[in-house]
Amino acid sequence: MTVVLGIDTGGTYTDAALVDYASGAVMAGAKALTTHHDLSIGIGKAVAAACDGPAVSPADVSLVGLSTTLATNAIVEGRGSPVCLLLIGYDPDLIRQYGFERELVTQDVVYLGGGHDGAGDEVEPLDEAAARAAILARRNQVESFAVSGYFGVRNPAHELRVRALVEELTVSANGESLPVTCGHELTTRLNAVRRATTVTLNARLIPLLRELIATVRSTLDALGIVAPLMVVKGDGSLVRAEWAKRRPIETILSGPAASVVGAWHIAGRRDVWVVDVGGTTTDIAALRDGRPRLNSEGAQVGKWRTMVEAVDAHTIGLGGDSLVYLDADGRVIIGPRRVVPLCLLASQHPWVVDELRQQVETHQRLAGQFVLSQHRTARALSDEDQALLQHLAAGPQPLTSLVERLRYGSLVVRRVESLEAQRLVLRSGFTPTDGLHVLGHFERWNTEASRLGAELLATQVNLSPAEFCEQLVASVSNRVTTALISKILSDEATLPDWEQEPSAAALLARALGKAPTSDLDCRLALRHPIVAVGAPVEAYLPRVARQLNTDLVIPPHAEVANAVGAVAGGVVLRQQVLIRPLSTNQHFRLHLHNGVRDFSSLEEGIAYAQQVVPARLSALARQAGADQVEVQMTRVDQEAPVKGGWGERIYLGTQLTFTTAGRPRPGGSERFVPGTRLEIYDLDQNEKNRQKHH
Amino acid sequence: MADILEKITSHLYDGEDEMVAELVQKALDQGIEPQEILAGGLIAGMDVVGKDFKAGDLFVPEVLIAARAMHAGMGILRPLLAESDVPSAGKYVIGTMAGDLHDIGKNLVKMMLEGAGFETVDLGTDVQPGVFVDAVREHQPTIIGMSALLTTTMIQMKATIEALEEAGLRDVVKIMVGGAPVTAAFAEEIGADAYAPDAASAVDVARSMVGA
Repeated sequence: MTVVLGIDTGGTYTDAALVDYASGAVMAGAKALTTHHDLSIGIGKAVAAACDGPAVSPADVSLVGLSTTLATNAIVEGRGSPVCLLLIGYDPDLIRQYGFERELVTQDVVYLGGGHDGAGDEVEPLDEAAARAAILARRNQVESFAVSGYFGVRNPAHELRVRALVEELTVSANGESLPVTCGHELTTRLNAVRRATTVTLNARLIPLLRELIATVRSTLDALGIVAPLMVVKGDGSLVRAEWAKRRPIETILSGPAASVVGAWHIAGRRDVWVVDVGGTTTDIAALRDGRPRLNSEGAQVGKWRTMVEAVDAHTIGLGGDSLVYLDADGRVIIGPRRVVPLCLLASQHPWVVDELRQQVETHQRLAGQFVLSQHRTARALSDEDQALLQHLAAGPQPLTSLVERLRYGSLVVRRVESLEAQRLVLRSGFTPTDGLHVLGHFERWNTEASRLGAELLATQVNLSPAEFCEQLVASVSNRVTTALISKILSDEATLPDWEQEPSAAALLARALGKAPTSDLDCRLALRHPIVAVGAPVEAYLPRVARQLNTDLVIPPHAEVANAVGAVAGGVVLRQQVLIRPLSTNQHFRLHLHNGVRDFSSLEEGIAYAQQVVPARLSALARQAGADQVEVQMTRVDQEAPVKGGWGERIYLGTQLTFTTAGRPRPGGSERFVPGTRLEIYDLDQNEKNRQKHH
Repeated sequence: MADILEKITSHLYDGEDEMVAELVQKALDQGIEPQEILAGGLIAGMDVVGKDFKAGDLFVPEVLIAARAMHAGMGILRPLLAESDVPSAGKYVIGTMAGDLHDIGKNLVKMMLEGAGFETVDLGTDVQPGVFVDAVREHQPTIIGMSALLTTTMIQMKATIEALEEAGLRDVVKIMVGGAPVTAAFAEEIGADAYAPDAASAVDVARSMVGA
């Protein structure tokens, strides 16, 4: 029996799933809390728990797939190692004029003479001397180099030369040189600034991902798992860890991608909308024809617009563990901050229940929240920060007591938030998870703590705790429904601005069932089913499916669908080759990964590409970890009609896309088939199940 | 007041440049604001010219003569408009593609746009893609208009759009294309924002691009 292991590190939870490779059936799943300061700790716990269950020996695991939020989080948080960006043929005045320096990610930017034009002809010779000088000056200060040339995607010659120089000049005693990434390796698209952004972000991530892979590898080895490790890319495909180390930027959005792939493999549907409710965020993405739909504009991560084609996922800051609080106007706000649910904290620290009981009596400000310290940091902290952390040394403290005991009273909240952002403290408070405990939909931890937390909030808005929780859960569903509608409209028409468009908001309210007395009802219908994964989706998604008048599929093992998806993808590599007509001599120019080549006819050029590219791509795919690769080519000719009397059509160019798809090694002749234990819940069934639990 | 502006419009349509100049001065003497004369007299006149040209009732030579009359009127108003800081409808950079020396169509578009209140920058003929990019940086126009009259130079329109894309500037301007062999399908294929079949439509398209 071949068993594979999938691991997904999310914002709150790290999931592990053991899958039987032949049947695709999920054998076991486990969750652990994600340990952001060192992801491998949470990974180790989840994997150990998953392998603990069934009669599977760790040595039986033949492949490990890992999807990680490392790249996405590091970029959003601005983390990364020092990198030098070498720009060839860029105009610093243009960059300055339009404020593009902000997009370059690093301050260490070197402008080198050189560059090409749109046809791939050299505009200026590469200033090798300056390149050498820059590399030598920085080789001891940076951990990697990023190289981008103007029109480098039309002719990579200068980028390749600079890369060779970096490899030559930074080689250390052990024979290794510093990592270097070139623009033309990551994309074939135009926009020199965005390419620079992408290549710099990639270079910054390389040391981080190397470290993660190394620690995951040793964690797996310690558990007795010797299988090869593969990493999920943002398009849902898999590559060997070695390969991912060179292009970490391609792993952004691997979490949402894995949940879409997992949804397909467990639920077996080819055209669905996937909703993944996590602890911190909810991700919404489309599965089309069995594949995650990609964003061809390039993924946006944090404030950066990259050129990575990753899953087109819409993410909202709302999850099962989002903090629920009342704002100054008494409105209930959910998220985006993620906290430890009160029920979970109380199950680890029973005194929390007594504290909450007391707070219900006394009605203090800032009641219902606790603060815990996280991991320590070597960084220097201010005296006030240190004092606060000192108070937390013995264990979690109620927020109210911090306000009392520390000198600066109400500024404590500001300070706590700042330490939270640095991941030095974590808060605990009322969450949708607590709401589910109160309502009896999901009772894993201390329900009394949830009930008291609900009371603290409910009395402030004149509701009973049960009513408050019902409204909270409905609120979560409404937000998910709204997000789905926004995503589809944004893709097909324009992103709705519910605040600024009152008539749209009015229709939405009616569609959500918020205006039962109106003469006008609004029924929106989603034309595809929703597959819900994450936990616990039974509580929130039936209402969403009802509001959108569509089927809901909650597959078995929905709570670890991400982890299943992390090992279910195939190895897919693409290479795009452009052919353009030359205006000077009626020839056709082929733009390849290693230079340009001219041909007297279009068909000759295409024939040449078909000769050299598939072999290269197959070899790369095998390096990336694929077995039995197949190369396919699609050809798109770009031409347009010319007005009558002036000729027939004008030829603008041809785009050849070579794609290899293969299963990841190890071998095994069985194909990976969609899960055999599919159960489709219809809405009535979900309702019956719910009522059964009351 | 409306009377004199109507007269300006009518004489402009007939291409009587001296009459238009005289009437514009008279309107100013009457105390009418330069901006009003421009909008109610000159632009209004060119609008009718454009409408009839599109309908096929006027032909290119007549449009050129009307444009000349408009220029005569503009000559008087321009210094006063510059003083009073009247906003233009938008800035428009226009040129004929590299390798192409045709300019009649381009000049007609330019005149019609000026008649509609746009500020124009004419890059001339045989304009390299890089020169368009430089013009965007220097003049910061709202719209770029590209003209080609040879099928061999149409392809330069694509090269110019690519040059703007590579510079990261594609989104700072709207791009309009035209010329005898150019088609709407071609415009879409190369990623232009719009196509105009003639000078009068060019004004309509330009207006919709600036949100008028």
